[in-house]
Amino acid sequence: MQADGSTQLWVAARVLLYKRGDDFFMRMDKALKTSDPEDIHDLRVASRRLREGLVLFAPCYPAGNIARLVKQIKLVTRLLGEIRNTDEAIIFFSELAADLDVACHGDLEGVTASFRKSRAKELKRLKSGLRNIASGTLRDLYRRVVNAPNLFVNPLNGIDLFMPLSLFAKDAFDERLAAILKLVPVAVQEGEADAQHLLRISVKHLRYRLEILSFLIGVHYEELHETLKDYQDLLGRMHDLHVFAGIIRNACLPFEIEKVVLDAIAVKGGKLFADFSEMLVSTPFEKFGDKLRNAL
Amino acid sequence: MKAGMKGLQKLKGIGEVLSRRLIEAGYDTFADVAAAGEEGIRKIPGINPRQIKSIVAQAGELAEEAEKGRAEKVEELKKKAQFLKGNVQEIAHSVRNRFQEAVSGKAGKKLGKELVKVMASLEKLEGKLERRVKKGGKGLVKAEKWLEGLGDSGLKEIGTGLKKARKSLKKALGK
Repeated sequence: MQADGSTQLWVAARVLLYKRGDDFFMRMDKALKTSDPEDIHDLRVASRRLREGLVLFAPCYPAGNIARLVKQIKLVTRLLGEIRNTDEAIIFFSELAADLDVACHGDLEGVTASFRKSRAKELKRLKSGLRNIASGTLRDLYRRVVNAPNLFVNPLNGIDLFMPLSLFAKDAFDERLAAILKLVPVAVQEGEADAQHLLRISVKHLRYRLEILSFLIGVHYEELHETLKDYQDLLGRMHDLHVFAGIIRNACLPFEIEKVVLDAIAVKGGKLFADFSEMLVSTPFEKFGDKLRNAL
Repeated sequence: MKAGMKGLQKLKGIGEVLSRRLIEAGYDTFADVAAAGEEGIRKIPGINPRQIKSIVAQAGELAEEAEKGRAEKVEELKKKAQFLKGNVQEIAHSVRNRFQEAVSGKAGKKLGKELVKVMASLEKLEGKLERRVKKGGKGLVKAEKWLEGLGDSGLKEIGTGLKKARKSLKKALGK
């Protein structure tokens, strides 16, 4: 069944969560089968998207049930996080070595090698962890929870489960946009890495919400989605550089090598921050919010 | 076999004997005959060679018509399933508005479960209509009968009506 803007919230919640759940479990099976970095990444994204879906439609269900599900799925996200970070680090340091002087190659190769070594261990742990989850009761629990909306109990937040989905979506987007707008004034300062990281997470939440409710947006969906994707990508790369700089500081490299590598990372970070500042001017979130509201 | 033979006899040049031979050769439907082509039909004993071209052409046209008719029927049934899903939503809404207090406890939980089950059955059947036109159609008609007027009924009647509607859909799903 395909929901639309006029579908009552309780019906749409079930249909859309089923769709997200099917995607998540299908990707879990695939990642277990292949262990391919891309499949692992896709599963991680699917788990985040599923969590956002559960949070979005939480008013339709008993709070405890949704919290239990979110907790279980968060375990999957975490389980996948370490190996994904390792893969990212291997790619980044290998590419960085190619850009830098030959004198740095040996030390950076050492950093990459240690990640490669830990990857094998992480993969083993990931596989057994996923197998435990896949063979366990998560699928059943998911179906049970999604099929049992709190139909006739008024939710504490006063959301009417019989309202059309389009009306609910408007508030749902506004909620996420408000969180973003609150963070922007701090994140716009170059040294505020924590605020930039929080902004990245908020943008991600809004993007997943947009994807879940994409059919309500119409022709402007691609454009809006692309904007969020660009923001997320920029902020993500900025955060990664922050993490990679930390890795280099803890890697006990010779002082001169450490300085060269950290300088190179700082240059990359500066460029990314300039792009981010430029994007905030060319595509401000306020304008994005207006476009989204008009598209609904 | 007899029904298949009767169907094939709609083709000019095909009588009882030839329709039996066509079926024995594995050409049960107009689509089969059209797909066999002139070469395939020529091998059927007793067929008039001068009519082969016309038989294959007729079969092609009739197969196309049948396919079109089926697609139209599926579309019609899908609309009916959509309509019934709207009905279920209206029933749920009406229950909430009319029996707010009575459904705030266990009774509401039970009724809510039943409403979700009917919705789920309708969704499942909607996805299978292309392969279950006849059974699906029957199930939808029966379910429609049970759901009719439930929006104004009492709680007990609503519960019973939903259960009966779900059973009709379940049957159509082959469960």
